[in-house]
Amino acid sequence: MQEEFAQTGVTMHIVHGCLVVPIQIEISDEAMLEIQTEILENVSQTGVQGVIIDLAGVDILDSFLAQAFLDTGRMASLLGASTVIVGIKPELVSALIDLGLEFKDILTAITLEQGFQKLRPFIKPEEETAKETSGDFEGEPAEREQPDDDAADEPEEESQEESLVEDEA
Amino acid sequence: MRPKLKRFKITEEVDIAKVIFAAEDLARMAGFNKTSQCMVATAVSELARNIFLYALKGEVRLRILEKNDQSGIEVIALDKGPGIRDIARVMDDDYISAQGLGLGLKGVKRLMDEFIIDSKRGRGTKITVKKWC
Repeated sequence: MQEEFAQTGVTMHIVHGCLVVPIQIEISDEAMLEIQTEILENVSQTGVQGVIIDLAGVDILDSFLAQAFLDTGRMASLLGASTVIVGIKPELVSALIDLGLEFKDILTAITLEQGFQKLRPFIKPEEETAKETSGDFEGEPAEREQPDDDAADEPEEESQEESLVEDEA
Repeated sequence: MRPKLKRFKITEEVDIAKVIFAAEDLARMAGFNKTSQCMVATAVSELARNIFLYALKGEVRLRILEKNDQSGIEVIALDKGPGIRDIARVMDDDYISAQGLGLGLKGVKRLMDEFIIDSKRGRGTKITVKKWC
C-alpha cells in the first residue's frame, strides 16, 4: 500500500469510519485509474461504509475525470460504501453542468465537515466501529456477556457477605 | 496588432495538461472571469483528450481574439485521425460513445459561444471554437 501511495501521490486516511481521499494533484488518466483501484481496495480491505473524495485541490474537471470519480462512487457502493464528493470549486460548476454530467446518484457537499454529516446515516455509530476494529474479537463478546451475569449475582453475594459480617459481629 | 498564436502538439498524455493550463492562462489574460476560465480550460481539455484518444496525435492552437472592444479566445483542435463518421449523430443529445464519455463535443459546444466542426472520414478533424468575454 505504501508503494501505491507513492505512485499516485494520494494519501488516504480513515476518519470517523470514512475513507477520506484528498485529491491535491493534477491527475493523469493513468493516476486516476490507480486512485480508483486504490479506493476500492481500501474499501474492501477495511470495510469502511463511507468514502469522501475531496476535490478541493482540483482546478479543472473534464468529463473523463468527473466520470471516473462518479464511477468510483458507484463501484464503492457495490462494495457497500456510500460516497460523497466534496470541495468542488464553485467556478467549476458551470463547466460540469455544460458537460452534461449527472451527479444525481452521488452525494455531494461543499466542505469535508458537511461530507461527514451527509454520510452519517449510512455509517454505523463511531463507537461500534471503534470497538469492532479494536481487535480481540475472541475475548470481548464473552467478557461483555459475563458482567451482566455478575451484576445479577453480585448483590446476592454482597448481601451474603454483609450478613456474614453482621453474624460474626 | 495581431495576437500571437500558440501551438501545442498533442502526442502524449502530459501534453493535454500543458495545453489546459496554457488555455486557462490565456483566458485569464483575455479578461475572462474564473468561471469562464474554467469553461475554456474544460473545453480545451475535452478537445485535446479527443485528439489523444481517437487520433493519437494532433495539435491545439490557442489565440486571444479582439473584436469591437470585446476580447475572447479561439481554440482550434486539429488532427489527421479517423475523422467522425456522423457528426450529426455525435452532436445528438442522446449520443454516448463506445467509451461512454460522449466524446465531450456536445459539452464543448455548450461551454463555448461558437463551434465549427469539419471532419472527413479517414482525413481528420478540425474543430474551431470561440468564447467571448
